[in-house]
Amino acid sequence: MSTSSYNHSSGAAAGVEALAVAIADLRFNWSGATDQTLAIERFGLRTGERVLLRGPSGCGKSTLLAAMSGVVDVPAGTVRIAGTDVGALPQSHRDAFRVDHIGLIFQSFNLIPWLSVRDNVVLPCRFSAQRRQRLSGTPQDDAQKLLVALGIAEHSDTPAGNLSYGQQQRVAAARALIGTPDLILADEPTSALDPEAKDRFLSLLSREAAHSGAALLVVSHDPGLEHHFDRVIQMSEINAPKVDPC
Amino acid sequence: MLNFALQSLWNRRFVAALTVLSIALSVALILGVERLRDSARASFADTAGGIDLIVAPRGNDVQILLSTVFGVGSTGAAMRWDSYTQIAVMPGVGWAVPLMMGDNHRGYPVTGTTAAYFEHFRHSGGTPLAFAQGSTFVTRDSAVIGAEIATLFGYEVGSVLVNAHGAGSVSFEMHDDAPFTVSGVLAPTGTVVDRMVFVTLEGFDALHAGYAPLAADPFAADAPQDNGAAYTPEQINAVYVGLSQRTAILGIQRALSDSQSEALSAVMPNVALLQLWSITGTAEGALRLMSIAVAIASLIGMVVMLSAALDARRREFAILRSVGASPRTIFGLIVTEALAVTAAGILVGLVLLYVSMTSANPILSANFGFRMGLHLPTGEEMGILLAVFCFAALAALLPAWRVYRMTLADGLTTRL
Repeated sequence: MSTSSYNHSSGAAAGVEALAVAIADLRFNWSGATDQTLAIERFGLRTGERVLLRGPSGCGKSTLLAAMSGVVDVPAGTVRIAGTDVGALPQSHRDAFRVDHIGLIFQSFNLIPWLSVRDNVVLPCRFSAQRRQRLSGTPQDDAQKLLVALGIAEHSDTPAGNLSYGQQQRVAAARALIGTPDLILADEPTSALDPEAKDRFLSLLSREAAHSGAALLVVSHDPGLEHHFDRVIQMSEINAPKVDPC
Repeated sequence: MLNFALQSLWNRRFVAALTVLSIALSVALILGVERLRDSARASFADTAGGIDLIVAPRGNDVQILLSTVFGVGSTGAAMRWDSYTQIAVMPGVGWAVPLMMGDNHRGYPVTGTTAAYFEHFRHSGGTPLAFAQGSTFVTRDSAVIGAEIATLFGYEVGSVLVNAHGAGSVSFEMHDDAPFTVSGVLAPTGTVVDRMVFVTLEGFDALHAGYAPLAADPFAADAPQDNGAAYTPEQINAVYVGLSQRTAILGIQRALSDSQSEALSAVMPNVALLQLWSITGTAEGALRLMSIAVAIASLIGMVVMLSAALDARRREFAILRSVGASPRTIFGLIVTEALAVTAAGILVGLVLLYVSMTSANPILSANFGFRMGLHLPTGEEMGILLAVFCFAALAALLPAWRVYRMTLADGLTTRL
């Protein structure tokens, strides 16, 4: 198992310490593509802040999340997560960095279907010593607490594949939350849910993120979810690529 | 990691079990072929171990060895009794035992010999024959039987045997006019001796007396009973020779080949065995090659199993990456799965080997007079198992490398 051994560049500029995410002057285009996908002058999330990022498909939301989670190469100095310059991390350290600091929730297929719900939730603790250290008890105990808070504790031992979509998304939320990462990134987490379930899911996610103190960035184009967040940002407000893809 | 790999395999347990089974079969086959060969060789060498020379009418060394010691194949022409008496007194000869062959008892070879046979025959690295019941020949109609014959037909001291002419198990020509009485049962030896019936020279000849052109002495049967020791037949089939001086072997061989009176061969059993192994070596090589081919096929099967699942598991790998697994971790996961499957295959293969040896031993023993040793894997066998394991690891690199490339390219994309 990979444990985190990357160097934290702790020399963050003044006023940046309290930021979970700090993006400055980020330009990105996919290799082979001539059009710019991202051109973000400034964007930030304070620690514990809950932000909804709105925007139609194809305007760079998912790319932004990929940049923040260290999946795509970004120039050094452009993206800082919890004070660490993600672009400056060597490729081999980014997976460890990701699990240490970020909880990820995808639109669907978040879970390994043959693992039990509880085992899915504790997965980040297998790969991250930091996430393990921040637990209050054993990984299984913390997972159980989160599952109770998210209302799916009775399914702890069920294989994740047997759950409904809505239940699976809540398990994914529990997995993102376990071991209190600095930041939770959710990419269209509610798009496969019916309107009632969307609302319920976001209120649970929002509440638990606030409870753990993690910053929460949810990307969605669903309307009517604003009241769960501290701030709502339109992608077009922060992203101004030279060739407008939107 | 191992735990995770095992859980993942459990999720695909049907295919994984088939793969384990195919590796197990190939492991059992490889080791089984080796053990069969080694046990057969050891048993043959054990059986012929105490005999320094076999003198028989001139013929092929291997054929002489097989027909005399193992009772396999037809016995050649006969040799004169005179030759035996000459050999017995040659310098360097410690002992000489005359043998007559060609009859069978319910398909098992019957040998005519003297009590000296039981005294001088050695098996299993120099152990002399021992009597489990009774003793050597008492009268000329005495018979001594091997342990297996006794068990098989329920004979004991005092039982009466009727022999058939020829080497086949089915014979219409029964010597029921000349029955034998069991005087002794030999202790088990684990060699072909267990499946032999020994009678006196005189008794052996008496079987054929009815067919001789000249009637035997009608008063012979009324003569005082003796154990046949003093009887001198006209012809015998072979002589086992034990040397008091090892170096005498060449002199005896030369004397026999120069002999004007009769064309005889002096066969050194160990040399003849080597010739036999060089003949069977080709077949053994083919068998071994086949078992290696089966092992390779089963390892390819494992690579196919792992590779076929990769596309279906892309999502699983993306999820693992999103929770912090690096492409290297996932590479390791695939290799771990392969090694777990191989290790299980090897273990099941060993179980299969011992189970099949246990069930094959009675058959081998009944038909060929030897058993396979149920000992733990030898160093050489461990080497073979290690080689299978290493080849599996090597073969696993292929799907693992593919998955490494795939995970790097896929990133965290879970929408396929």
